[in-house]
Amino acid sequence: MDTEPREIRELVADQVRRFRAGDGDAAEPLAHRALRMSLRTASALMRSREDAADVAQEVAVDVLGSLGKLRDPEAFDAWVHRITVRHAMRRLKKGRSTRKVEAPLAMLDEEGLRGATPDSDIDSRLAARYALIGALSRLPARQRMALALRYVHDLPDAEIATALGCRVGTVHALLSRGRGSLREDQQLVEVTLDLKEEG
Amino acid sequence: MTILSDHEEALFRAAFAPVREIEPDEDVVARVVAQVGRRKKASPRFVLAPARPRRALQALAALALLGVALYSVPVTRAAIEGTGESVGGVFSGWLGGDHAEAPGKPLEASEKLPEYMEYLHDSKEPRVIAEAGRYKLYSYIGSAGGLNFELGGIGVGLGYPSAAELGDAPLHLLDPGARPHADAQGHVPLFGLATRSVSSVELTYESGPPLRVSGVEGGFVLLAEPGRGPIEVIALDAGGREIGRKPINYPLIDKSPQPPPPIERGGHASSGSHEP
Repeated sequence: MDTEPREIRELVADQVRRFRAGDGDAAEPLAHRALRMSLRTASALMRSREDAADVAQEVAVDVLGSLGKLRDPEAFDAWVHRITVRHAMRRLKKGRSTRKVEAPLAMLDEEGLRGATPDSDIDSRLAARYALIGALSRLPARQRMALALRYVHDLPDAEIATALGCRVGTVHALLSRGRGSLREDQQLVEVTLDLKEEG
Repeated sequence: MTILSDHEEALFRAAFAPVREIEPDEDVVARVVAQVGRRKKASPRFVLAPARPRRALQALAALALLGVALYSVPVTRAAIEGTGESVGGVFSGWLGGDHAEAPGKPLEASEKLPEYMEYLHDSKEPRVIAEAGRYKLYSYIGSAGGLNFELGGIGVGLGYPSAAELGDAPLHLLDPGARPHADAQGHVPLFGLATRSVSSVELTYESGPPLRVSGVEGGFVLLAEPGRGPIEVIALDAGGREIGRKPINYPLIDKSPQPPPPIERGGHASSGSHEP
């Protein structure tokens, strides 16, 4: 399993300590890290880019505002994941009642991709993006969440359990069911195979 | 558990690959930093001012309270006189190294910690603060000296850098966030802390009788019935007088659709992996 290098975790822990001690310079790197992590998770879950960005911003503000409660400065990432889960679940619930499905979804900024990437790669990535969102949107929210934490952030089961507030066995079941559904999504399998071959 | 082939694992990783490249706008980062800065100025929890002015302000506030308390009920006077009469006070002696002041009771020799506590590297000196049904409220001192609570039965932990973070109210509710669903008995546990003068707590509902739990010693676990609309928790002293109350201003149950309870495979049916 891919894990964060020790030096990065220590650097982040040091930033957390400095932030708590009132060092304003530590706020920017922590905000950036919290935003990036939560934006990636939310982008795998939300049906619109705007929703994902809203959730990420709410999470980042909450994370920095509640760092006084974080017992272990090295657990910053776990703190971000936990708060992301809470905000994303709320937004998913709210979205169903107040928003219609919005057009082109979350994820990377298409314009940003163009120019830096060959056109064929862009097409494959966009196709994969749409197929993934389509397949995920048919799963229950907690399965989606568990899959996002595993495949976006490479979290082991125990850390996913901490983020979701459930037991490790529950995570096994959520991942197993979620994978089973994705495996049966023919469109996702096809575009992902294309992406693999190109990559 | 399903065993994944390398091929399948690679497929899933490739499907999520585009998401792993997303970066936030720097404008948004700046907006978050500004917003947090404004919050800090507004919130007493994150005062960054030098210690001396803070102490002076606290002393003035204490004097003002003392003046008011001379004409107030005895329990209020007890609360400002100190030790043990704020939720933080219940834990401060223990955190300061006085084991005689440790709240709750130690784990029994045969008692096994929940699996999610066993992997915590800093789960030292765990104490059981309260319990109800199969739910237990644990507390332990972290490796950095912070105060930690584990809400046994739901797998959620909360940490506080110091006992003072718990505030000086006679009651403190430990909010784990909305649960995915009630347990098989229709309950959602409500975990909380209370000062030493609190001997019972009462959970009131929009409909039906309240739930009262006696024998409170520093903390409590209430088996709430979310269907009856829990309103607030009221703290009572030994004479049944009210000491304080806390509204339940967060949802106990997450109303978004949840997956059905997981079915364990491969002979692991008794591993207890189901969430309450």
